[in-house]
Amino acid sequence: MGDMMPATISRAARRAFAALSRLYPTDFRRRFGDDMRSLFDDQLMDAERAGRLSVARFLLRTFAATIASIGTAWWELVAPARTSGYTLPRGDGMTMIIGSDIRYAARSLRKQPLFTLVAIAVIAIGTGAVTTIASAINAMVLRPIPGATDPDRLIAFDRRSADGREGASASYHLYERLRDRAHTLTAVAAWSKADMTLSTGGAGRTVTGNLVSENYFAVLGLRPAAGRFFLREEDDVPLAHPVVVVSYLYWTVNLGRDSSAIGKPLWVNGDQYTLIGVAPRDFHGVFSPIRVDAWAPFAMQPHLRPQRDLADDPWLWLFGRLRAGVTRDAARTELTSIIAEHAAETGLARDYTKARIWTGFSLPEDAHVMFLSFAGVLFGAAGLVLVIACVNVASMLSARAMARRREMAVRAALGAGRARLVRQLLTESIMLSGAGAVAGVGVAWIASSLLESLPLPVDQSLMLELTPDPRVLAFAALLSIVTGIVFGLAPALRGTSADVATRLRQDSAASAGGKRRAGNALIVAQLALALTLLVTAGLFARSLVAGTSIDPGFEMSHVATLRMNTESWGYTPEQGRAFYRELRTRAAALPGVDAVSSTTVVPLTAQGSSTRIDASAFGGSAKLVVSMSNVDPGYFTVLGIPIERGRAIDATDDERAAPVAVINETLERRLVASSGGTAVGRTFGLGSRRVTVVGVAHDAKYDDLAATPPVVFLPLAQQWMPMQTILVRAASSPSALAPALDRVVSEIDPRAPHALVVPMEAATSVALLPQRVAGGFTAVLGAIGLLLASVGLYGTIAYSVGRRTREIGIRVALGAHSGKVLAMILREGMMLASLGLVIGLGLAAAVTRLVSRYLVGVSALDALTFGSMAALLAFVALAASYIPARRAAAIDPVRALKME
Amino acid sequence: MPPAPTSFLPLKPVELHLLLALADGDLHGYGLTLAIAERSDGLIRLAPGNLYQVLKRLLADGLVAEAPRSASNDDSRRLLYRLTALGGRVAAAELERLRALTSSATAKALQRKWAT
Repeated sequence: MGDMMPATISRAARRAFAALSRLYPTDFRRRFGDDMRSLFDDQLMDAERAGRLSVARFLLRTFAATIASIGTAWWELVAPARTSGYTLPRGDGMTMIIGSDIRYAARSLRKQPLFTLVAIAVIAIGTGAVTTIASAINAMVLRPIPGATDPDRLIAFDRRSADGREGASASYHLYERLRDRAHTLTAVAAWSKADMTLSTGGAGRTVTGNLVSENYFAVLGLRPAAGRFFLREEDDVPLAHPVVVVSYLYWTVNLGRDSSAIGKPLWVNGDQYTLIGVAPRDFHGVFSPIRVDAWAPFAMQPHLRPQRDLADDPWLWLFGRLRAGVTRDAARTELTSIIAEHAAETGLARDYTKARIWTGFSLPEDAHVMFLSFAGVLFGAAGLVLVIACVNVASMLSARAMARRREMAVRAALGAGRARLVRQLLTESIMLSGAGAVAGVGVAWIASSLLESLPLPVDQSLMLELTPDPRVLAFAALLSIVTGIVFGLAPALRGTSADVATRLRQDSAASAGGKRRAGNALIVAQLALALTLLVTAGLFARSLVAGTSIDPGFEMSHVATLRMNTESWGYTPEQGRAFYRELRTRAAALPGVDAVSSTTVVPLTAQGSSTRIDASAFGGSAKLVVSMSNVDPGYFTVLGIPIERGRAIDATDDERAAPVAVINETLERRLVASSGGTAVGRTFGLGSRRVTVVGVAHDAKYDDLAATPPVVFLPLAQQWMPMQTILVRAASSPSALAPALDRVVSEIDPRAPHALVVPMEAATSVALLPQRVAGGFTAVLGAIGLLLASVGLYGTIAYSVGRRTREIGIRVALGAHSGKVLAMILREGMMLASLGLVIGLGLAAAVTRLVSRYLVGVSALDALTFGSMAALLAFVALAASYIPARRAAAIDPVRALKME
Repeated sequence: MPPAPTSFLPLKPVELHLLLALADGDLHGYGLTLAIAERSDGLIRLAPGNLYQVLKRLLADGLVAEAPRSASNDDSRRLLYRLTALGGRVAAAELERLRALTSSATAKALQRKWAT
């Protein structure tokens, strides 16, 4: 029995080696294949005698070495390291040959400028599309924090529930515990958001700011562009040191990059601070795509975020630096134990006992999974165009290689080896793809700046640095070399095959005969891929149309939105309430204003938040996760949402009255599922309060266009929120109200920042942003793909007509009339087109399932889209083959026969 | 005119080992790998592909030739390889080059100081 095992293994090993050795170049294999196999047998037997361990070691080594040597064997075929002692000078001979290859390639490409330009343009489009998406992915998730030292060891972390699904931010107490006890990290820093209105005296500018621990910049390893960062004592005593650091961008734009501004006063939310330093260029905060322009120490929290505290309030985000030699897993284990210990000791946030870690990304983990899957769709589309472009250029090169068979034959007859010729042709194709990639980076540059200038309908400044960086350029360079070899090798091998004598004898027409099938396959592939892109683009376009026609359940066409945060200019809650009351009253008095209200959540703008309610009074499940909006009286009127039962929230629901809520129909259905009846008049638990349901509103969309979630509407008067959006229903255009609203704000308080008025239709268009971006992108790519494929088809048919001129001449001479010739050529084109169509439809059906989560109101197999795109492709293919078919039909038999 | 042996220098270590192994007599592939492994104290163990790549190069350069099949060949399936006159001269030239190198004053001083 003991011998059975090795015997099976050695048989399998021999077979594997025999299979592997088939990958050597033909000449090498013919000459040494048998010997190699018997040598392998002998060595294997030696190893078997020495024991199983030796066999394993031998196999591992030999297979690795064999794979490497197959690579070198092919490489030597293309670039022989040394032939014989005297045909090549040693030393710099290789460089000389490569140099002459490049010169020759450049000359021969220059001789056909049209071919060269078209090929470069086609490759540029393909690599440009891929590079654009690569830079977007690079900007969003891969680019390390600008200026940070050793960014690979920076990790961000938060706490999660035991099942890992729900996350929570950290309290200051938890931060202190982690900072003091985590030994796997050299340091832990914390930050949180705080809107700041900065001013040097006059009207302010609201920017996104961060409250940070004093070591924030030190942990990142940043150096100030000017001035200094925070000192330990500046984060010690609350409000004792009002200091602020601004971004390089803010310093440049608002302070004229003036170093004398450092150490001078800067008003932050109405109070005088000292500007102590400037962050490095391009640094705009960590682990968030939102651009941060100002930083203040946590000691200033009572002024900048008075609602929060530096005790057990969970509002902080954490990051740290891994100690050298410590793995992420070790850090996660330690952080988890500290978090669990904290929960057990304090009894706070007991559900969150695990640590979650992510690294080096500008997006938190959840967001980047979402972003990556979306970017994957776009990357796939761009990849398809690149493949089409490569296939297209491959067929061009193929045709060119066929046309140059005589040139190659002559050079072979004069003593050039096949390796030399293949290398020559490869040099040409790599030069082409290199030039194409350079142009492609240009295309990507332009496309990226278009993307960057895309107006985003959100009121946060995003940081999207799309300019290609070295990482992206390296990617493009690699792409060009790989594509150059991949689409150049096959034509080069084919163009130089067969022996010299036969090639010299054959005339160019006959020699091209049997090679046409491969060319046809390339055309079919292009058509199929183009159709796939077109169908995808069509589905996104239909989603956009369907998405815009979905009834959101509210009326937004005449509503202006105005988002403000009274905390950002230093108001206490009382001052904030008074400000919003005054703003609503004055806005309602403006001419052309029908109604005014405010809310914390503008529907369809991804601002939603959720909470848990205790529904045990209704029977059924006790805990229910619901979406939440805090609204003012008049909310349902302004948005035109009908109240189905009970009443809306009104002015009597203030802080002195009993807590009330309006719920939507979906929530009511869920609440009364077991008890029946209506929810109006009954109560549920929210935190420590009992809240009475006073009304049920008609269902309206909440965060997105998908199904409506259960929603609770609570009166703003009963729960203070400093950040609110004023909703103004206008009689006519909502944007016309902007100047008047801005004037009202500055009349109430001249220190308040300028008001940004956005029509609600613009604000909610973010809900269809993925469809808009993907639709636009795939439509452009689909059009390019269709153009390339149809040009390819045209070229193939035209080539075939040229090749068959004599045959067609004979047919005409024998009495075939021009209509028949036309039909014959058209049939040839349509055969290819319909093959491409069938394969393309199948491919599209497989691909569109992958994008189905981004489709709104349309099936991934929508018959109309598939049908119309197939018809479009068929029509374009018909047109592409009609032109050469016409030329064939007009062939003059006398001249065609004379050609010989 | 045959090429000067020195035009092939320097040889790669594995090439020199292979030529030296053939200097003792004709060998087939397996024999070559064994001889080379032995001479290099197990440092150079050639996988089949690597051996034949070196052989291909030396055959093309005319330093090694295929030996005519003979009765002494214990396994007639296998090709035997033989050192050519050129190969012998090249190997000798390489050895001379190495000797000159090892006997230089600097090399000796280095050996005295660092050899273990």
